Amino acid sequence: MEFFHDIYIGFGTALLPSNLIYCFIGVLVGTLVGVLPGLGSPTVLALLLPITFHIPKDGALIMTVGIYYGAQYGGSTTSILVNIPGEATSVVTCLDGYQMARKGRAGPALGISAFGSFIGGTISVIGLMLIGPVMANFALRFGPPEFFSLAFLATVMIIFLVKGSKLKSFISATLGFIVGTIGLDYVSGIPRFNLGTVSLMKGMELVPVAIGLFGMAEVLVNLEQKSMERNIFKTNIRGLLPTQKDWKESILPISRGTIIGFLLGLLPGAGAIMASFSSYIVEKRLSRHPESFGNGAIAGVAGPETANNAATGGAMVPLLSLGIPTNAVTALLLGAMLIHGVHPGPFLIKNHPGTFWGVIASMYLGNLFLLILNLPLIGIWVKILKVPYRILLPLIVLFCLVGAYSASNDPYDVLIMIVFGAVGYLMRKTGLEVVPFIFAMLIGPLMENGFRQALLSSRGNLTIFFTHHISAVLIGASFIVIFISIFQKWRSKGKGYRDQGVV
Amino acid sequence: MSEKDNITRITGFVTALLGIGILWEGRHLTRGILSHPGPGFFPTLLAILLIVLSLFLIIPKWKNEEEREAFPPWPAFYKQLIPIYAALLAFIGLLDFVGFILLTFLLMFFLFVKVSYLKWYTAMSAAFVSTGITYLVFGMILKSSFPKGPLGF
Repeated sequence: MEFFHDIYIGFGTALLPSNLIYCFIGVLVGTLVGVLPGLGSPTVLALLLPITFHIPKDGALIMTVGIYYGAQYGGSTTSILVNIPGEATSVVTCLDGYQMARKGRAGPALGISAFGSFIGGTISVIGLMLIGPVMANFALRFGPPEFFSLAFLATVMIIFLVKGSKLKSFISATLGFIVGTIGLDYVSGIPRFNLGTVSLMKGMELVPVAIGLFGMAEVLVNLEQKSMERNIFKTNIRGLLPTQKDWKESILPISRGTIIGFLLGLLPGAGAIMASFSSYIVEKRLSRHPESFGNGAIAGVAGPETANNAATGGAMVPLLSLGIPTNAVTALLLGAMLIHGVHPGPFLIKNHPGTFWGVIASMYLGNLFLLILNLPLIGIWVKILKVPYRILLPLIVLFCLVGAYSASNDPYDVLIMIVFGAVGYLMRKTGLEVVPFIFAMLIGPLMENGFRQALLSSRGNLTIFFTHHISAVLIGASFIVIFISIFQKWRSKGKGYRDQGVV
Repeated sequence: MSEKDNITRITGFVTALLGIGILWEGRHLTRGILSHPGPGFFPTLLAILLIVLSLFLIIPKWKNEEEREAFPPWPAFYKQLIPIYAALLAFIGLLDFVGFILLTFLLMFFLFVKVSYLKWYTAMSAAFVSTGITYLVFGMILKSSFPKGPLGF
């Protein structure tokens, strides 16, 4: 009965007219972001964070979460019509989606991607609703050692599961942890690394850092592109509703995509990108006609597009119940929640039931909005795609400047944003991943807090992290992740040598 | 040694220097002992970790194939980058003197000409519209207080 009572509370919050409007704006902006290549959801979320300061807490969170899953919907449109993924999570959709468009089947490709996204997104919300409270209840047993170990596991997974060099990801995370220590020490009240300035005493604010790392750096990276023109495939988009045959070929990929997406969404560092790729690989392996993949197989669109949306529900589980973000967007959502005085974690359901269940209920409504919105709006998205990217760049710069300034009306924050814009650009150029950095910057205080409090309570005995069972399991899991990663690398290296005939 | 190896090595040097800088800047912070870790404890651990990790980037022998990934070319767009960054820094420096509206209009005009390659009259119109909408949304609807110049706006 309590469960239904909670749902009732959630819909009571989500169905308030103001929250419905925020949800609608969130999913609409999210879709637009997803449609525009080069403007990822972390960028836009970073840019919109200052606006949420002016909105009531529940509405702000409903809107920001809406942007997150709305972007997954929009990403497929460009993949199918332009062969350029709007979001990294839609890269794999290009393979078959664009081929379908070339064969005059853009309509069914867009249609099945919208329906798959709706099904995956909605079912993953049910998963979130069932697992989230159980996990939060379990986490009530957590003390400082457990929180340290959990943050440690999440960091290890972010480092080892993101693409690119693990060493550079590790360096990037370490830099993020260091930036997270700037400001007043919460125990002694002593300022750390504030360079003698008052502005840095409050610590490095998330908004200017995130806007710089994602927004400004995005502009700089895009300035490098010699050609920013996009060739939109000219085709009549008609017959958006998939045929019976299309449904028959898609229903199992959609079902599998939902499960794969939700489970991978739970893992830090894996998320929607890995979900969409895994779904594609699974569908190709299970298909009776694997040769059709890459040539316009509808299963190659349905599975990944479902998986990337299902991953958003999965990613909300550790965020809401443990306070652990699993990717850049959920890290920014964590920041948005903290700004509004909401501390995600085991006590969220107890202290803010309306917010917790309201956000979840809004995800049902948002998914419905997206389905209703997207099919008729595809024509408009195509028109927006024709806006030259060079026109958008100055507008993004303007948004970065105003966003960073309006967060606290302090020109110093604009300077921080500009500095981190250059830092973000250099990080991209040198292969230092931005995601572990922002993740570590946000999770760092939790980790340090847990570490220091655990050592204080154990009088400096480091075995406290192993004598507490949950902590020991989490630390053990971290080492398993490290071991598997090293083993896989060693195996691929050995394979490389064998292929070259060295061994 | 290829350009990307060089840049990886430079990255290692820079991050190692940052680690040394953190140790230097945090030298006054009490590190404490394991049973009573002070405010300098965690940052010191992190700085040492950063220096050690950076060594793996600096010493080529320790670098494996993974770090020798394809390196994106360095930009030939410094002719755009430097003026844009100079304009942004000027924006911060002049904000309190010139005022938000006029300065934003000038910056947007500059960006539309420099980045979007618009003709001056189109750039001026675009700058006017974008500045106006921004002020309307942030200044009037969201009530952010922007600095005013000598002309009162």
